[in-house]
Amino acid sequence: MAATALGLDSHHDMHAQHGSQSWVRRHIFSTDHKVIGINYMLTGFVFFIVAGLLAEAMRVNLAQPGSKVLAPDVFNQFSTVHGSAMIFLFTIPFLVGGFGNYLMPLMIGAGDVAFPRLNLISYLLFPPGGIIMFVGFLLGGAAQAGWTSYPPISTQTPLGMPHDYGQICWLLSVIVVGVSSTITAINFLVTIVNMRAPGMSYFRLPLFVWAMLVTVILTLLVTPALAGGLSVQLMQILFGAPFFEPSKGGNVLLWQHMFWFYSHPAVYIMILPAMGIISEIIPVFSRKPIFGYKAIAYSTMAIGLLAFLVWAHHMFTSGVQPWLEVYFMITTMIIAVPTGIKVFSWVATLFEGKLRLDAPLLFALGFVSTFTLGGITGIMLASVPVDLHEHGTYFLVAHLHYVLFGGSVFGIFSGIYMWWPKMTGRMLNEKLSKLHFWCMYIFFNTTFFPMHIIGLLGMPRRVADYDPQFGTWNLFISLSAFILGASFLIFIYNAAHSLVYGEKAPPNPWGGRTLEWATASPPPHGNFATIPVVDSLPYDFTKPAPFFGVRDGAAHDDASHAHDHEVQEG
Amino acid sequence: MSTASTVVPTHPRPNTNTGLSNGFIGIMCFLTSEMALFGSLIFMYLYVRRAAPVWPPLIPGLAHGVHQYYERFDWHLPTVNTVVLLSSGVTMHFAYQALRRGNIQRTLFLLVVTIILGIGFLSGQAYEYKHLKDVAFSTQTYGATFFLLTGLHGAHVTGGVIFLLTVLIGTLRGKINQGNDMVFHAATLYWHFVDAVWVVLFALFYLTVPIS
Amino acid sequence: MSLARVSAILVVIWVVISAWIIATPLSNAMPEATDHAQQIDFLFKFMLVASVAVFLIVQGFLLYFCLRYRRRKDESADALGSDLHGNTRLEIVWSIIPALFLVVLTVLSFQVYVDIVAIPKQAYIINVQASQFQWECDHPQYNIQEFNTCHMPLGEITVRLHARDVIHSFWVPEFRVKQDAVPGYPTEMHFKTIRVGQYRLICTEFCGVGHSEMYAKLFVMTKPNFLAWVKQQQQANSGSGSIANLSFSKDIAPIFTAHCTACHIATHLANLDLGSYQGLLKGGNIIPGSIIKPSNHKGSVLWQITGATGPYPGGNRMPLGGPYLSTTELSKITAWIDQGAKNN
Repeated sequence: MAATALGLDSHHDMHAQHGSQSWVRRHIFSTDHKVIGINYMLTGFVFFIVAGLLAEAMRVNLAQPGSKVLAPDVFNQFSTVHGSAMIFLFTIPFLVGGFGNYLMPLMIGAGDVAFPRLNLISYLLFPPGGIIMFVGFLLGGAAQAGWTSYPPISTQTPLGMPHDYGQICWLLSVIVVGVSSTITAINFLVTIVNMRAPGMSYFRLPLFVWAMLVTVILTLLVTPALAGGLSVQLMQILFGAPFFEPSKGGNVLLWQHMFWFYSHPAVYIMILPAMGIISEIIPVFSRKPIFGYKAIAYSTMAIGLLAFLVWAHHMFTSGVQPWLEVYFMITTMIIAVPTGIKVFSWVATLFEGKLRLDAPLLFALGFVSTFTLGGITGIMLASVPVDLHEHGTYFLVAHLHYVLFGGSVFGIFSGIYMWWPKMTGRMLNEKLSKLHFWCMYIFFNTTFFPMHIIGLLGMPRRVADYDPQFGTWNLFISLSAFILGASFLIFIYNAAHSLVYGEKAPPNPWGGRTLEWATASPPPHGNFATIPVVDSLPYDFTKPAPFFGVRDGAAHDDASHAHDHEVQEG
Repeated sequence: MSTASTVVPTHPRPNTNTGLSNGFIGIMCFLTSEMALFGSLIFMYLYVRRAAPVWPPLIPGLAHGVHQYYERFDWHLPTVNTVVLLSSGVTMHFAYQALRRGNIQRTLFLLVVTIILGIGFLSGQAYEYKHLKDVAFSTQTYGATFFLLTGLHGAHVTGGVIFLLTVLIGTLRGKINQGNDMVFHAATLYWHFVDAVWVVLFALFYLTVPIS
Repeated sequence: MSLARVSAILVVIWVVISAWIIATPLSNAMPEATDHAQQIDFLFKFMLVASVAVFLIVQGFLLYFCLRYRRRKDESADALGSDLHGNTRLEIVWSIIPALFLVVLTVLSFQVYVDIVAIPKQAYIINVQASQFQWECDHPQYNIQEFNTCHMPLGEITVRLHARDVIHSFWVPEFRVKQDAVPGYPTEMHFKTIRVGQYRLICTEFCGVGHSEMYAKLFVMTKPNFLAWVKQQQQANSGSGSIANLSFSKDIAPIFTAHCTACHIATHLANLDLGSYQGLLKGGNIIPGSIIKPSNHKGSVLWQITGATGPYPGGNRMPLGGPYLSTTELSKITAWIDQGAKNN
């Protein structure tokens, strides 16, 4: 007899038989968080490939100066959609909707999220919301004002078009995906706050769950602010409401404030879950606890709080009042401290470990390596005088790719390699996995590191063409980028092969200590046969694998029941 | 059934970490996100207002400045409207209290009054919109900000009225009752939120227009 | 190899690299053409030295730990690492030291920034009008306008930035400072040029299809050379043929041939033919009717659509995308229209 999981309605039967449902009901319209999580990942991955191809096309154009492979407006459309799709249609959905959905309920010992049907609605908004962004290509041209969509360029109708349909599509797309995100945030917040297994206090949460908690609080508070800004821009484009039109009382800088108030926390929404993944992987593959658990938890909270206070460091050259720029410089410098604490803690976790240098760990260490470099260039950009030189150049493009690709994408892949056995019930080929890592790591660096240099030497960003002096550098970068892109084929082949021929995965192939490893690979509906009861910190390797503090429910039903009632007071 | 003067919890403490139900925390999160939405638009209004060289911006083609707006923004109707909306908040509060005590007749009566007052507010707003000349959405930012914010609020009130109607039907059918009042509670919280936003908008748009 | 040994090696590497950074002037890679450039380069070097330290610490120990603590082939898959949860003293140290460094960096940056935004008592003023996709630099003191070039003397300069249409950004890499030109919101830059030379003025805020091409040639000259240039410009404006008695075929048609007929010929583009006088009277199909009103330049579409200030009929200044007509050419058109816009 199973005890009712915390927070679930009494009529939610964890052991409902779904065998009689159609494939579509079970795989697309399921309310099971694991199915929804995987769907987010699959959809997100499709957008990743498409957005990546757009970037490769841009790099073809940029391989040589004076190249006219892409017309300038097409280039601008590609660069806009590349950035927007990577951020809104891949990184955030994959990390929050994908990993968040799949792992978080498992890690807290819950049977599902608080509102499973709402979860499904969140997901169902995502594919159409994403497709709307691309519909612009069919309507005379996609949005072409950059992912930052600054007016007046974004509210200016492109030459030759009666209306900027592409921009309207872009605005609608981001609004829809934003609504989906906000609903997910509400769902996750209630789940984490209300549905943790007995004994799982906040300071026994796995660090990935801490990351999700702070991420969804950020999402809840700032995504509606973006929706506000987007609606305002939509009103101007559709109805001529002159919010950003100076001659009619509007203000151009207004957009930048509204946009960056969301978009800066958005970068933390993109990096915190990835950092959470790293915090999970390093202890498991070092076979020892994470170094400085509380420090990492507190740093995560600090980053979340500071995220609200730094947005105008994207606007240092915009004409913001000097005293305000100093304020933002100070807050941006401060946010480097908790970030540094995390990096040092991860490296220290390796100390005196028994490192299994398998793919998940390699990607995690790749993350630490590249993200640190991105963080360093971030500190350079935080200093207003230095930013005055570096802003709007390829130095910035390098920085953002080091933190978003070197950070979030490496984090995503380390998570994929880590939890692939759990999610699919199969193992990946370790040799191919390692090959993928090395290709990605090496060619990521050869692609993006030189961008720091050409940026400092005078190459602006968002350009389809450039001064011939940068020709050799750009050719080198483009060739690296092509190889980097091709290296994803290794992963795709590995994944496909694993799904068909891969060796069956045990419940806990890596010897992890968090709750997702305490159930089958993949977990059944309802996740756990009986509610786990937690009595120790996560990452406690002194306890035997694979569970931590989890009672063996099958053999001790009555005893665990009695204990459950006691513990639920707390 | 419990006596009318005491509120006896007829459902057990939810089986959650916090003791609060998922639905309650959920609706509070939702209202927080709504506050963020209105907050960003109110920030937008304040920023535009402060950054404009003259407020309200001069209408191209018209000679005089501020007086024209103050005349048009006759505060009588909006004040009445505000009283109507706030009263509906009071009736909604007591409707929920009645439900918690198990007095369904009273609940239904107060709920219907709330809905009527809500529709009254919306009618008042529609009338106000029709009567604002020269305050257009697209000619300058004074109109644009006004219509965007009050329009968004009106949309929320409309959604709220629909929500209340759904709750009314649920209560009539007996699905919402003393033991199962989460949805009613959520509707009450939402309605109070809509009231609170209006108070802020009323203060910003009607009470602080400068008079030269 | 012990932890201490590794640390020592990393320190040595850091010292060597830092010495190289400090000793090598950044101006080797790119000249420092303003006083701010020197200050910013110093800050950058300071940060670079610190960055190398952080990078070496993180990467160095990461690599070292990977090599030293990796599980050997003969060890069991379940072999555990040590049960170390943290080290409060170490954690405090690695929180405080970076924080202190950041405080120092902030203070230094603040000092440089105060200098950058300080308004000099005396400065040579240039008004820059940025538009899609050209730079117009006006010298109010001498009433000179230049398009896609910008000449300035050595010394304190104040650049007042205006944008006509969308946001642009004024950047000269050798100056190390940039500032956005924002429509409806004039902005200013102050710097002191210290090096004569020719530089590129680059637009660094995405402004549309011509963003990649939006460059100007910027010249910093000694005071005497600059004044000589000014004189030359003033003569060119006033001389170069009398503005009176202009002829369509000799003075105006060549302007059209040089700037317009690539698009506006026969029935091309907007059905406007600027290859003949009749074409001017016929007009086009976007803005119908004659584009000239004899003796009334302000009312003539031709004058409105090519002029420096808008609004522009149809929404775009001509020639589309620039380069636009020079001051001289504009004066000729103005004068010719006022003289009757005759077909002479």
